[in-house]
Amino acid sequence: MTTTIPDSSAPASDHQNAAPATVLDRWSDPTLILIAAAVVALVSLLPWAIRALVTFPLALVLPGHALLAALDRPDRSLSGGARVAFRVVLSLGIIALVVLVVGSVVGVSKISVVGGIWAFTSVGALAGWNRELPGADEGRNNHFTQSGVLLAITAFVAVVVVATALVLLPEPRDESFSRMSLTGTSQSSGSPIRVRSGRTASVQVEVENGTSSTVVYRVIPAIDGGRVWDVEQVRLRPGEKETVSVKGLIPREACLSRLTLSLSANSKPSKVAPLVLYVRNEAGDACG
Amino acid sequence: MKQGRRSVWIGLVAGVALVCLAYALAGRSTGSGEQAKFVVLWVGVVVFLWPAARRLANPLVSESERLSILVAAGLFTYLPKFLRNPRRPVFYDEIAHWIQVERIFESGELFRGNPAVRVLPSYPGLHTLTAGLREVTGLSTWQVGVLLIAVLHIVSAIGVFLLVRRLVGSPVVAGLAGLLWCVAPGAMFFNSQFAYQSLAIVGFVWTVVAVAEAEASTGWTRWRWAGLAGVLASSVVVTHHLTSYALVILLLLFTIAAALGARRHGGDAWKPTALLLLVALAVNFVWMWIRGGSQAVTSIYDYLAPYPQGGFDQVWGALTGTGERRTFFARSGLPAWEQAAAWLAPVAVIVLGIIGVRLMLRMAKPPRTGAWALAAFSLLYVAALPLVLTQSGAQGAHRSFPFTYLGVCLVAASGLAMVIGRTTNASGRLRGVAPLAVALVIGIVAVGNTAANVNEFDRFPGPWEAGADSRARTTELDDAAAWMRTFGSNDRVVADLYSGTTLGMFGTTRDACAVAAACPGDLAIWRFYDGQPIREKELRQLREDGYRFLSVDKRMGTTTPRSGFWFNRSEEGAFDHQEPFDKRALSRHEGFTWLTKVYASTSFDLYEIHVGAANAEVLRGEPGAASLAEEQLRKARREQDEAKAAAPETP
Repeated sequence: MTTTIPDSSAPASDHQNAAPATVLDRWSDPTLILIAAAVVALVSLLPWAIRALVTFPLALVLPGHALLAALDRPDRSLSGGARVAFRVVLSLGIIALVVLVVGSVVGVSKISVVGGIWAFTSVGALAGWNRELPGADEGRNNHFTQSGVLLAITAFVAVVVVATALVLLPEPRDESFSRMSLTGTSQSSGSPIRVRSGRTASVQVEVENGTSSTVVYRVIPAIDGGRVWDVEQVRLRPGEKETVSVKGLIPREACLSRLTLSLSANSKPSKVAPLVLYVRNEAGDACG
Repeated sequence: MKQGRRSVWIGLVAGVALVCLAYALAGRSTGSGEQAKFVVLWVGVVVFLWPAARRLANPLVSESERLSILVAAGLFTYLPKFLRNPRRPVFYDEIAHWIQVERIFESGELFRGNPAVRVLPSYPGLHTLTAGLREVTGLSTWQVGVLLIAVLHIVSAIGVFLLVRRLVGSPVVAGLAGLLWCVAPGAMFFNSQFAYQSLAIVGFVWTVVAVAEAEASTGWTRWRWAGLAGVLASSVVVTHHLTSYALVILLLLFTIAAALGARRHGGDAWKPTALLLLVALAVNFVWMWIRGGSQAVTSIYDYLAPYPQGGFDQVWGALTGTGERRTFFARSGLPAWEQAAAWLAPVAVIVLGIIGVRLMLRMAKPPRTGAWALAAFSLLYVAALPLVLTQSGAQGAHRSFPFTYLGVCLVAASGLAMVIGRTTNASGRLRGVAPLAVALVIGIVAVGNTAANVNEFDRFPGPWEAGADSRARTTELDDAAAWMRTFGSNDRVVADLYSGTTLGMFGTTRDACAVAAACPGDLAIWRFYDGQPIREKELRQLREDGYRFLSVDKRMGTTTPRSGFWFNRSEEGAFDHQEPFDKRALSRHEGFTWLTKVYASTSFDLYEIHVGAANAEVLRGEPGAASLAEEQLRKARREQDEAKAAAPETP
């Protein structure tokens, strides 16, 4: 039986006789690597958008390339695209390990990270200083990619898709909501609310409108089941929130009173369950 | 020749447009199970994969074009996951890893405890890499993560191509293997998350590439490759536990195959492989020792062991008729044809694999020994398939498939190459039908591998869904977490797993075990929700374990979780929640004096726990802890039970 699959000697397979891609080998000149590493270090001081454009691709290639340069580029048997991919993978592994080492010793910071990666790259580049570079004629026929235009189209399509997705795709539908929560001193002082003098207690709550229309909210306090305190009203547009303060008298005889704060929306009961707090009367003798 | 090339790139553009359309449809949908988005998504995928496969099967295509196609395939198969949540992390693991990087970036400290995944700090490879790139580039953690995963997709496909070409010698088989890898189990979603396994698996592939190159080289070049493989293997060990173990197994198979080959044909190609096996074992051992010795071993064992153990127990139970069987695709939201594809995909690759192995045996130039090692590795995929039939084992099996599929890619691609070659040369009626049959096979593999472990809710954006972590992060929940964050508290949160993830990680400053559901210890979390009496034991645990907040998602009273559990797999009633929790049980907390309801929104009630400050009687447990509402609930239950007991049995 014969196969329809070409083996490694098939003419289309340029792997077996692949010479190194010239650009990669010229790049292994340690001076270039040092310059590039310096560029990374300098550019890292620039605003993020410019920095990212330059540093991300360099960070993905340089450390791996320096290691390969130090080892006299054993990957010369691979084609150009494969060699770039190998540099990326090596760089990812190296950055992970270098940051692990420097982070364990001195902590993770911009200086330690950039310094660590730069030091590794420089050492690798210097170790490869005396390696013999291939002549200019070697590998001339083996371009980085013969389908460079198509690769560029692929990259372009990917970028267009990213941009389209970010601009056009809708956010997942969220259900609308209303919210009432403790805020300010009522939140920070914790429970129960202690009344140390007089009989007046106050509570600060924040009300938020997470719906798509304007809502008039009413905060309805009740102490031990009886509505003694004044109702507060607030009108909120979509996405707005506002702090409301409610206050009133607490029972003289009870040590611990139960305060509930209910929320109504547009004069109808909202779906928000009441807040439940406790007020401790420490002013009189109620608590012994 | 040119026409074939054009069809790939036209297919790519059309495929991208269709996938975008599928996600636009999903983003506008309000319910589940709508067919259109599934159909459009997979038509889009096949519109590109089919011409790509045919092009890759053409022996006259240059290597650079093959690589271009694989670059496109790598990016293309990342597109659905990218569109799923382009702006922020939403999956449980993604949030855990994202927050880990954020906290390392803010504090400069490695190995900080993680609020959600307890073994995660012991594997900081992804976090050091992301934090490093973040420091260098100035991008945000999420931006670095998205770019990183896209790059990883590309280089892993190229890695598989290089590996298979080196081992089998055929660029056709290598190209198809790279393409199959892009649609392997977990490739499109699970391994596209910003999570440690997504990085580690690429290191895994490229370590094997370097090993294969070392075996094929001579002299110093061999040892240089071995050194590079050592660097990559080390980065795998510090990145992901399971991947490092899978790597050791594969290196062992490579060593055995190389040694057997050396015995028959002579040579010393086994030496670098054997050395790397020892290096991988040593680095694993040293890393475990650094991370705490036996404690670290116990921790990782406790984390991983339940899946295979439970799986084997349940397989045995199924065989002997004593165990429970898993219900497949229960409430997954997937259409029936996707479910069918999930069953057919393993069958398709096994058949292709058998054809591929036969082909490899008959090749004029025999494959390298590593090819047989990978073929043997693929048998682990087949061996793990029965575990899918069980509830516990399915998780473990699905975790192992991404690794073992590397072997499957090699043998199945060989088979696929042969089938495509034969059909291209076919005559008569077969000539017209054969390409469609090939497209069908590719479609089944792509659809089936994804459908087997990604349900509708993880795959597509949409409204909140009970028991789906990727649908839990709503604006309302984020708002609750942001409000909780104003406390600046590093205390723990009692909550269900889905809202608790966001509340624990974004609402507190706590490092380890912020969410009760992630590491409950002995706390019976469900008792706070299902109406059972809250005992003194629970109250004491709340106080001693540092819990400050208790969250109630009121929707627990209207639905049941799709995943089968609200808190974790070992909760009481897991995978058996037939009814929602009683609404009265969920609101009874209002009557407990040791709780203050400090936050209330449409769906969430947040309580602050004051066990220590509250009435001392509470600590005596029942009935002191019971509120009026709870008493009424119990009374109603008792009456129901009594009524049931009194009712005559019907035949």
